[in-house]
Amino acid sequence: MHIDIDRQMQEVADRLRRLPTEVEPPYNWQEFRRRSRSGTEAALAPVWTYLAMAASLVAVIAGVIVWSQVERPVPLTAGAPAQAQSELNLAAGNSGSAPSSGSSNPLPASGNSDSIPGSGSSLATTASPATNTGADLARSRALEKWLASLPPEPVVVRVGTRAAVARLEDRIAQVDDLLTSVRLEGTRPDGLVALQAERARLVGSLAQVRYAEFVSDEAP
Amino acid sequence: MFNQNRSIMLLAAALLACSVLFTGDALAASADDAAHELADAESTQAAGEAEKKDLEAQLEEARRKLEEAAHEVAELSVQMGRPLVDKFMTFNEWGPSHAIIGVQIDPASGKDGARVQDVSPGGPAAEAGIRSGDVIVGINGTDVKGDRTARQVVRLMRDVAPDSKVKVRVLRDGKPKEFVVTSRPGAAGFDLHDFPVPPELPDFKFEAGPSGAFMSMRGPLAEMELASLTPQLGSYFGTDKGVLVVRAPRDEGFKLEDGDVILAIDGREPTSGSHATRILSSYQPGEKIQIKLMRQHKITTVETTLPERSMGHKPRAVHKDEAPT
Repeated sequence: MHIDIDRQMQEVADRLRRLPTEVEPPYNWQEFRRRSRSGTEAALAPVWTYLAMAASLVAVIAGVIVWSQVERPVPLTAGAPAQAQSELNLAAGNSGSAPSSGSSNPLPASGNSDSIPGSGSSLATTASPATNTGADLARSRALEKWLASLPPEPVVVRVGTRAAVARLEDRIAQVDDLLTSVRLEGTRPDGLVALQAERARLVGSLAQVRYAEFVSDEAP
Repeated sequence: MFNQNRSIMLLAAALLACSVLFTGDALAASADDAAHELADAESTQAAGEAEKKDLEAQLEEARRKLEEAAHEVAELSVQMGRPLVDKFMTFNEWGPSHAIIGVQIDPASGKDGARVQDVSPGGPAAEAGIRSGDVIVGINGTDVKGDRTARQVVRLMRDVAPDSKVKVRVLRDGKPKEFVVTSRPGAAGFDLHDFPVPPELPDFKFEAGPSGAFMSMRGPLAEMELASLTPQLGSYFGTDKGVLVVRAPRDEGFKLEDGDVILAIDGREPTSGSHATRILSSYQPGEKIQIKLMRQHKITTVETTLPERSMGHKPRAVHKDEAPT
């Protein structure tokens, strides 16, 4: 009885020894997850590529449409801050469809010579005097808002630059005095338009000079 | 025993000598290295200082160009609009004002007062705190009410002298407020040192000058830097009013020094750097002025002559065939 058991045990042991060596799985759970993810990404990659291409195409088409819309009406001021630009659009009776330049340049609209009646610019030739006055007023207001955001004067004033600022400020005040006189007279609407344009131009120059002063003051 | 001790002592002495020698070599090498490092550091510092000076010079040059450009923008802008302003100075019954406060008055103002339609940026009213929408109800104690209030304001301003204090009473959102506004010269009293508009001659054109520059605040005085006094600065310099000279003009003839506090220019007391600039701008080059100063806690007065604005160029008429200068 015991001999049989011993034999059986021996046979079991022999069989066990004959079994092939246990092979480890090709990868563990983490590896399985990794391969699973990469497989999904690989499967999705073409989808993303197509989506990106479609988005680019839509962006290009939208850009072309917007550009053509901007080109048709007269562009206002390149480089004006977005807020100022939208204010200009509103005040000029534009519904506001014109896009902003997107520039973050703190320097407001430059020059403004395009708003001067009779200057031969596209704005002067296509817009009515009333529109000009509205645009000039709006431009002045937008620039004045920007000017008001600056401190009245730098902590340290450089006499040369400050004199240039003072000269423009005084001139604007004089034009404002004349505008009051012309309005009281009430007989020179053309003069009113011209003076408004002149004021807008001076305010534009003042903004530029103050910007120069601001930059100079910020330098070490 | 004695010999053994002697041997030990000799060995110790030899070891000590060796260590001293090695230490000396090491110290010498270390000192040599330190000297090299010091020389390198000095050389690097010298190069750094030279570079810094170079950058400072470049910055100063850039500032000068920026200032020059600012001048040109200001001068040309004013000159461009001059014919228009001149035209309107003479056409109406009101004539140009001698003193202005920098506001546009709404001609359709009601009987309660004259509504401020717009305020000139950087103008006297803006500086004093007046805003568009305020309703002027009094000037220098005289009420503004009834018919034609806008015209009343214009008439009252005719009696005001330039650079004088004007008491302006306004209603803001129905509440009364009073401001003291320092008037400035109007178009009638302005451009004292401007040049007349050149006549339109058929064969001549207008030339601004080599750099397109006109006469303005330039030259040594333009480099002067001023700062308004804060209470702390004032207590340091021993005065509670005036304008601090941060950087005096390089022209020694102007007799100002860094750290001076300008108390008055010909009796006019500057309240800020801008105000001092405006006062100085009102003089012609070559004019003599008296400046009351606080210098090293002592009040003193210097008499000086406004320097020539050497960088300005008078406009001149040239024949149309003449090459530009």
